[in-house]
Amino acid sequence: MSERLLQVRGLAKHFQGLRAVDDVSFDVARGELVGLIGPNGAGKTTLFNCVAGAIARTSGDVEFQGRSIAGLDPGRIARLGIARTYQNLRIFPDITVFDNVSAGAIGRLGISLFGTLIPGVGRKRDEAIADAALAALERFDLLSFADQPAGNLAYGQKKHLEIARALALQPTLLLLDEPAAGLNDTETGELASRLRALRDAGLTILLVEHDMPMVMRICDRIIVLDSGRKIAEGAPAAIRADTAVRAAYLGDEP
Amino acid sequence: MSRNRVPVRLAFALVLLALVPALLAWAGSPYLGRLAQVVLVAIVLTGALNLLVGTAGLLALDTVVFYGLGAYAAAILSVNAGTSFLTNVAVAVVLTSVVGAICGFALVRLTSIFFAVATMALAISFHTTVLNWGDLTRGPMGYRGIPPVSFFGHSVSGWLESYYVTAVFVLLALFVMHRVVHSFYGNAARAIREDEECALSLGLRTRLIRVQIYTLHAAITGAAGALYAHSNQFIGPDNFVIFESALVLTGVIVGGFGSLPGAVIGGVVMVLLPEALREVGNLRALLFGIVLFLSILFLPRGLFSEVRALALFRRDMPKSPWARRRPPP
Repeated sequence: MSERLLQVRGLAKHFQGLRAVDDVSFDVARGELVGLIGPNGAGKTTLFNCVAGAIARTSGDVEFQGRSIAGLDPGRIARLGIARTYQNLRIFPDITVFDNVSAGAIGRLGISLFGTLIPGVGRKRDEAIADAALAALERFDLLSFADQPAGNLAYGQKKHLEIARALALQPTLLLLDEPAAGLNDTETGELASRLRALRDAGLTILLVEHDMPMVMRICDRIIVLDSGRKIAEGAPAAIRADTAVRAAYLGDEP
Repeated sequence: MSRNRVPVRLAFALVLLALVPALLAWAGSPYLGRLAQVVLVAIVLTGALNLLVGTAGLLALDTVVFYGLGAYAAAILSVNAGTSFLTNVAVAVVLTSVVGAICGFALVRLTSIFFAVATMALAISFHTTVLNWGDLTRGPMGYRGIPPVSFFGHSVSGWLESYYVTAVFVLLALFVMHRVVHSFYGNAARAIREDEECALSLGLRTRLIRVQIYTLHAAITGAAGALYAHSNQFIGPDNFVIFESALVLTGVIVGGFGSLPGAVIGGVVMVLLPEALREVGNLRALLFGIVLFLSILFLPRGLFSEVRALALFRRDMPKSPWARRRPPP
């Protein structure tokens, strides 16, 4: 196995009595595209939020590039190179598409008030921010909408915008929470090929998704959660044949 | 370099430094000269508050706190210690920056209405303090006999000279605010305003940026206060009641949240409208209210919306490759 980028060890998140995530362990290797699937309420998004630092875990550890990131605040985790998207679209609707994406670049590269105030001082950084933002827009074919308010985009484009914004952080690991939700078949196909291209360019992706055909088609490996526990892990073909997975999705045979 | 970049700014500077004084000199009325200065100071106040309320999205009523701090610092220093105008402005800026940073650090943990109420409390306690700390502030008497604006021994006399000092100060303040609003820094602040949690997950230092903007708004407002003290030569607690904050906030709303040109327009409207309505006497407040109400009802994004303002100044983002590689429309 190649270098382990992300290691999740015995991660648990309990909401009072509910064990939303219960002792889950897995690894993601550098350059892998890993799918995280499971029925509704399996704890996929909770697991995501724990990794990204948006909610505090109950126990367990998360290591990224060999250092523990459990308990760090989400901003710190993002600056270390983990970018995320949200299940229910969270773009900034009132500012332009370009400004949305530049926010991601600013998050990674930082911004200083001093450099902003004094002409010339912050120019290098401004150029780096603009370059990162433009590259991300270009990758998702959003360049021609750059100066539109983000709220004016079609739903599918908004989904793409959110991924482009995360990419502008120039992350090492990209966490995508149901990027295909609400997209039609054409848009899903387009998304799938873009994700695959990102993976081929060397980006590591952890993908939560309900769209099974897409997951099966593009993922290198799949992890299946049910009721907060990991019930299976393996290549798409193996997951498809797994009886425990079938039981979780279709119900146990009587 | 883009086409609209220099002209917008140059035109504005020309209007302020040539056209308006020429008209004022032609009219030859000290009243209009004084009014023009009041308008200019109002522009700085709405501009500074717009940074906080519009760009950073933190509804605040604390303009009078920092305006008053700056004004009282200048008054107390010049009357009691005889320090020069420029020293007083510098002291006012430092003082309001420090107080602003401390207050900002405490306040930015709050958001929305809680932040607004906290700044309101700040404004009310400031007024009460000024009124009752007689030894320092001379209480309700206020400070009289503050020396006029002077530079290097030359005392500014006459309303035209005085106007020019204010105009240069306004241009400086607008330059600072322009750099902040129309930049990636401004983008970061707007992103935080739109969705703080999401901005945090993108790695933006949300709290730091908010504290910085709060501090900057305090410092600019404080400088305006020092200038006001010297150009008015009298200040009292009545200049710093919370109603004045509300007036400045209204200017921001009428002009357009987050829009710097809007804040300029808002500042002008907020001073000129009540003046124009002077004729109608007591009905003034009512008419003023109606105008505001209608403006919010029909122009919720203000007279010059943020979207328009950003589009106008977009290419001004410092040498952004965005300007060079702009895709064809």
